[in-house]
Amino acid sequence: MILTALLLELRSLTRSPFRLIVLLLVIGAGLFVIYEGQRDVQRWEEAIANGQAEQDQALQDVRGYFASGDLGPSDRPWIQMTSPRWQDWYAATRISRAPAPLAGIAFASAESGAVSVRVNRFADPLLAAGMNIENPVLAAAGGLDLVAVLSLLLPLLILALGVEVGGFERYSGLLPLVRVQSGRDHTWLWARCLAVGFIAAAVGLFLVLSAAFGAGADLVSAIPLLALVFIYIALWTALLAVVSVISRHPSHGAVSLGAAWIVFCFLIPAIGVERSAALSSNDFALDLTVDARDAGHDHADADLQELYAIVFKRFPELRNTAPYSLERGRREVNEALRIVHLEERMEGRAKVAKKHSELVTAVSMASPTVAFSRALEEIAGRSPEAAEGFRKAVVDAAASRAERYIRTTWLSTKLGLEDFEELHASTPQFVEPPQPSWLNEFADLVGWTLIFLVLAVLLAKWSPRRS
Amino acid sequence: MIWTLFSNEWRATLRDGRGILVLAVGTVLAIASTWTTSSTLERERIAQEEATFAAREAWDARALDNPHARAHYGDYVFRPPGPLAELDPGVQSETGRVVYTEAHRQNSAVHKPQQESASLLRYDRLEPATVLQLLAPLVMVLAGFGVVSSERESGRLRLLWIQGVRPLPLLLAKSLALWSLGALVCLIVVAVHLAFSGPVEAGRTAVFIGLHLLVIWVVAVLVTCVSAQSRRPGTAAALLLSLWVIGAIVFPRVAAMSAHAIDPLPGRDAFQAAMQEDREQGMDGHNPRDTRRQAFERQVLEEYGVETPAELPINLGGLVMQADEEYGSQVWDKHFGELTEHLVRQSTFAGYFSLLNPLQAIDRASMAVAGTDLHSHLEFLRQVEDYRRVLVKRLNDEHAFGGSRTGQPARVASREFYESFQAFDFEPLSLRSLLGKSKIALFALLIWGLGSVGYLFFAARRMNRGGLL
Repeated sequence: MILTALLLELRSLTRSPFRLIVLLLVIGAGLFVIYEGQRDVQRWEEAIANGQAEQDQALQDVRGYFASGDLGPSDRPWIQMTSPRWQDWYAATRISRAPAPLAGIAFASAESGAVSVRVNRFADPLLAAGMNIENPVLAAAGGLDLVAVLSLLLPLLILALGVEVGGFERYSGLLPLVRVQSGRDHTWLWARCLAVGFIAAAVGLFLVLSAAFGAGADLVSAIPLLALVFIYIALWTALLAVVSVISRHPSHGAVSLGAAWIVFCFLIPAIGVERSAALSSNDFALDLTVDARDAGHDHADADLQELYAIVFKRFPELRNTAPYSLERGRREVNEALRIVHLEERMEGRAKVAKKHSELVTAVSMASPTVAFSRALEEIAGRSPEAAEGFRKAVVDAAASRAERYIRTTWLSTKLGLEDFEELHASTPQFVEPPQPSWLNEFADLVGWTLIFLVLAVLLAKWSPRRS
Repeated sequence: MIWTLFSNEWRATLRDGRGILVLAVGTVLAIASTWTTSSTLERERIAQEEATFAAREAWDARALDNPHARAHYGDYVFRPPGPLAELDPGVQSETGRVVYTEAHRQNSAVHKPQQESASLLRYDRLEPATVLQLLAPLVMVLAGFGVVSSERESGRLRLLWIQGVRPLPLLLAKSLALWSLGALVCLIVVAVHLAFSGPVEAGRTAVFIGLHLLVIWVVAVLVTCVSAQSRRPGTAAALLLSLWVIGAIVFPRVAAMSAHAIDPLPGRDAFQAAMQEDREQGMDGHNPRDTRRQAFERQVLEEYGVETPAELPINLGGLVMQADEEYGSQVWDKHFGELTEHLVRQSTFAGYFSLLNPLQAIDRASMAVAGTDLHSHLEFLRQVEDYRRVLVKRLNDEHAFGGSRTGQPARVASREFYESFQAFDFEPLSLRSLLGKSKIALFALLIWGLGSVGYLFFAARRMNRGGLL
């Protein structure tokens, strides 16, 4: 029966211009955004390469200074490469965020953290901007990437293909005929729903494989994406089954499926965005701006011993190299305190991020579409958590730089080229994308699918009695 | 006759459970969205004032210092919400909220707090503008897809013809009934806004209502006419829902994507590098060995007729810093100017989609009226940059002409001098100016308004000829 239904659906597909247009629209939009996603990853890689080139130039300059014996640029005689402060400045290493294999699928993600940051002891990644300059009016329209195509347009394809399932049979009087011929009227409806699901799954498979091959990703990286796409299609197919059981007229199907799409893809996410706006309504980043700027100036009247205690608590190894005169080390203490404040700000921001993350989790549970798109962003390495991980790596590197700078300054070490090379090598150049955590969202989608399946079966059992 | 048909339509809507449900959902959403957005904006307004106050306090509380050191200390500017942001926050969630104004550089707006829930930001926000521009049309589609096609299917249409009802009055009455449903949602939104908001700009609010009532009329006519031209309610429902999805979800994204693909903005690194390259062609005020600085110093010495900087009656350092600043300003004007033009060009390109989609036309016009569109944001950045330049110039002038001499220890300016600086105050663009910058959207709305009337006549004539009876 499934084969008969599949052939029927394929025949209706080729005969209906409306359905064909929707199918071609989904495939065309999918291929277009896959191409645009690849271009975006290319820009990402270029941004990293440009940063690397700039860094290599700075390294060459310093090697040249040591080779010539000038120890600094000729027009700035006060710059001496033997001093820790200038070594730190010139050995500023770029830390870059390596794109995940499938980064292109979520290039329209609103997460726009920096992809490459210059690290020295002054680095502050909290306000670092992303690689792209955004046009706010285009960003406000919402992005169109493969995540959007899969999460918003695939359900629409199922809606377009299956809008008349059940309603048409009942309205035209076909269902009693099916019952007489096969004895099981709902089996025919299930078969039609499955056929629609198969067609949508074929489209999903084609788009996922195109994205994976286009990005040069291996099949293993594409498996989570494929699993998510299939379960998402199964969910909408199960919803179609529910609607097919209750529809008495084709218009009921259109309205019910349309309403479900609007609730899951538009209304619940919109409520989530509104809640997110409320969460951030009073956040004008005073901690990252005014407070951060003034933190460095607040220590002038503070007890120096207390300041040293704070520094030693954070950097215990510096205790062994502290100068005899506390006053002599004041400048370096301020450097260390800058890092302490930066880490505090980072911690404060992590708390804010946690609140937002909890909100997104709650909305994901209420809307399978949000759960699905969130999981895809995870796989693409474009989630806020990935950006936060990168910022943390930058702060850790800056802290390590600061500690090294303070130690060598307090030891009054005159540094050479080997120290410079070692300093540069000690900072990681790449931060790999975190392991994507999509299993929770996958479980949400499985849960929703089961709910709809059980509902469809219960309604089907109840429906003959009602009729 | 129109009034009878109109009241009949309303009676039918109220009698039908689906009509009541749709109306109830529309009303609840209108009230909820307006209330939540108003309270969110109120909190944002208070937080913005507090942040501005905190920045001012930090400026005043800072130990007295050299004016140029104070220029490096700088000031923070916090963007206020637009004049009618309670109804349409527009692009403000996509723009940074804070701009750092300091010596030697023009900074961009930073800090988008909603970034932390980025997984949600690919979706629309449930704000009053969304309710009016997307949900009200949807309510009308759901309530009205069968407004004529159901009558045809049930045979009531033939009965109406026999009773002497003509197609045009019938379609007009049904369109008006649907329009009044949308208009009701619009009025609820505005009433709740008036109840929860502080002082209201009557002009902006009136234009906001007028434009939305116009687009609701366009939607009402489209729904009625599509229903009239569909043989079955199912077909009308599928077609209208598809049109809604395309207009509300697909087209705006396609427009944005196309503008981005056809005329992409430069990458941030490339933009900064180009600016840096030009900047390095000018004077480096902080490098005494810079040849351009030395040439400038010679020029000043000549002007004052002295041989050495120490003989100058003023502090040369302040003049050098200001000259550095003025060169920098030319560079910023060139690069940020090109960037601004590029942003406007992209926006204009995307704006042409308004001619194809009334929902995009109203979106743009509404943001303009609310003072939350791209032009308002660019105006904010322009005023901040003007503020920065005036601030830095005053500080450099004080450095140069405030009484110290070249080579002397940096002179500390008085507390009165620093306290005389006024905090940044944003003057939003006038409604007239904003509407002038949104000509495409307004023109598109006009075309859609006239086109809807034409479509009404066209659909009625087809029915007159017996088509689709």
